[in-house]
Amino acid sequence: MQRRRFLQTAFYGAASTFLWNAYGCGQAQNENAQFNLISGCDDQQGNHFVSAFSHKGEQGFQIPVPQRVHDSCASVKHAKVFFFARRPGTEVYVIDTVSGKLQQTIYAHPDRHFYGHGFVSDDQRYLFLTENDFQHGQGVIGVYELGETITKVSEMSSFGIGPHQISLLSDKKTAVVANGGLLTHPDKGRDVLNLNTMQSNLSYVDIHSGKLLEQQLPPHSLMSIRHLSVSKQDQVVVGVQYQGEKSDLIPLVGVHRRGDSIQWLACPEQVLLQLNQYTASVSVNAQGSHALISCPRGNRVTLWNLQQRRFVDYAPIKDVAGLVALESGEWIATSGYGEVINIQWKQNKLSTSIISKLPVRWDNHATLI
Amino acid sequence: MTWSLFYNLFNWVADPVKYSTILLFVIFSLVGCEQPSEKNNWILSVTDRIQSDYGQLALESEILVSSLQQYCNTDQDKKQSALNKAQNQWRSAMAAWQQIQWVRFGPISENNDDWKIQFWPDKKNLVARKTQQFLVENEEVTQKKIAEASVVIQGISELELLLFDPNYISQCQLLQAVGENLSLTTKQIHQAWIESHDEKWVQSIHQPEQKAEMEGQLFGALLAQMERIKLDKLGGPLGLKNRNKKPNGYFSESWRSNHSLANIETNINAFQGVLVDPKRYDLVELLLSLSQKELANRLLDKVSQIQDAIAAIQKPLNKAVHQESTKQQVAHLYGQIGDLNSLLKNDVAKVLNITLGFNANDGD
Repeated sequence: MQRRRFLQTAFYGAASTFLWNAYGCGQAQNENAQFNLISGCDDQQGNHFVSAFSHKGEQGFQIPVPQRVHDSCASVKHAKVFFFARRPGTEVYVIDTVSGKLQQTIYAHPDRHFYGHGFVSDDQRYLFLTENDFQHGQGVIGVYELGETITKVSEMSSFGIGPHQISLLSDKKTAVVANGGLLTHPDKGRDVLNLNTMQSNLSYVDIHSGKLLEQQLPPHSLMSIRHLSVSKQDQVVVGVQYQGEKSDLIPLVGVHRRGDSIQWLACPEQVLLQLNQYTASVSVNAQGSHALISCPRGNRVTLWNLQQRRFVDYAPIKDVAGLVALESGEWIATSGYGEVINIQWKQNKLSTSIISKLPVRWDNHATLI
Repeated sequence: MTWSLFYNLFNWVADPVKYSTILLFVIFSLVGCEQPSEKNNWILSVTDRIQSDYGQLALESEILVSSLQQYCNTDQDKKQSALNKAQNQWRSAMAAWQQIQWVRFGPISENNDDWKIQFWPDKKNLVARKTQQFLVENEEVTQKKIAEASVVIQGISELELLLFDPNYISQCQLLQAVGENLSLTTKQIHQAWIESHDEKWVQSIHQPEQKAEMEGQLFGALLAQMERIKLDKLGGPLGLKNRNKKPNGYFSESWRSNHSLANIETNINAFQGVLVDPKRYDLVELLLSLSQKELANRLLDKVSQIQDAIAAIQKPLNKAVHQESTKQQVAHLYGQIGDLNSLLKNDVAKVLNITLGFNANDGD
């Protein structure tokens, strides 16, 4: 634990130093800022970047990249952050936080593309990425060894089509993956090719053996389980994107614990209809008591009580997507209008305050490193 | 020496011309430094128009309440005539709603009121099913009970069922309660728009950091309405959203009253009003100010072609999609709406430098 903390401190220090040097150029910067939040973003002209920013909303690095990224993660040991291209993207950008440079681009194999999500194993030896074996229309989990250069060493089935967000449970060997169920092929861009037959699932996979440990299906075939967040207690909260009619009253949030079936959480009808059948990021707070879920098509964030398993409240934020849970129990959110926002649940109310607004369009996910 | 300095300063400031200059400077400093632009004028003109349209919706809904009362209180021998009048007033209220249906931002969305006014699409016929269930569970019906019930039975789709479906036209208590609820909701939305308009639009339009969001919201709503017309109002009955791809007239909006095409016509006329508004600064004027005459003409031509395409369909939409010749006309209209959508999204948004919602429109 002490070692982990030391590494984190060293990492933040290195990151801050690099960012300070890289971003200098006479621009005002807070020397004490820790740029330990990362996200992909676009500028107003549609150019893609990988980026870092501080809790105060100050812009850190902003490195141009060819493909639009989706989510990101970090390896403390290797002092690297990874940004994953979204479907049908074929690149993962590896930023060395000491040199402050794009150190490597990992390219998908010719018959694979990425889905924008991944995680680093607890021993920090491997990077796991959700990928599409588009010749066979099957989801796979690619395994990459983290060394001087990063190479693919293995892959295993994701046990579904269109694997999206993936995360590791506390046993450090079970991955939970949201197989969204949507079949796509790079020749057809982002078009969904199997709407009539789609079937999403939530799968638990042993990352050592590649075996399926448990699989849960949503009650409606058009429910695409896309995003998830795992509490310290291994409670998995999932966010759904429903592919059916706008007026269908379908739950968009579920909670699952291994061995149980998914409990789908009710939401007041009028609030549910406003969400436009779409959730973006899921973020369980540090205590594991609440989950915040961003709903950019409804221009709001929604709060859910995980102990009582119920909807709690919502707050309006335009085009909100990225969410990060802080140790304090608060969240940081990002929006497509360049806002960095603090979100708190206090005095029985979900309150939001804009920390900063930058001339960027923050993409779907933000990560605390 | 000091007194003389004060005196000169007072005289300088008191000069009316200089006074105005200073005042303008102070105002622009206070509101955040951007001077009024043509685009701001257009946005404020549209928001003013929205306020007026909300007023019309509240008014038509109030008149509908009276028509429903008259119908319910009329003796049996004059019932049909009173029903016809109530149906006509429903059409007027529906037209007022279709005029403003595109506005899915501001108080209507923040207070979750849009679904209360109209529950649609309704592929599973929830309106009829929930009505049956509600009637079984409630002997006495009041506006308060309706306000607490499912949004499915609160609005204008419910009133259509109660006024146009022979199985429901005797449900006067429910009819009046739903009418009162609609009237109350539309009044509240109108009032909320008036109360928030100044703060949210007039003052904020000069704040550069808020302006992009406001433009994005407004323009995004216009685009979303075109997509709604194309995908839901036309694509639904054409069968493009079904697994079997078979046309289904029951998937058209307002099929019970045969009002589907009239709704679309009103939607397009509402857009045309944003494009050309004799009373206000309009989109064509804005485009001309940006030397985009050709684009303005393309928009006007496209709207005119869409209006012609609607007029060419001589059958109610729910029937037109089941006959090959008229189905082709509906498919043609579908294509025309798609063209307008593309024109707005690809050309007009670019010329106006509009930042559309990033994650809302193109997330994953």
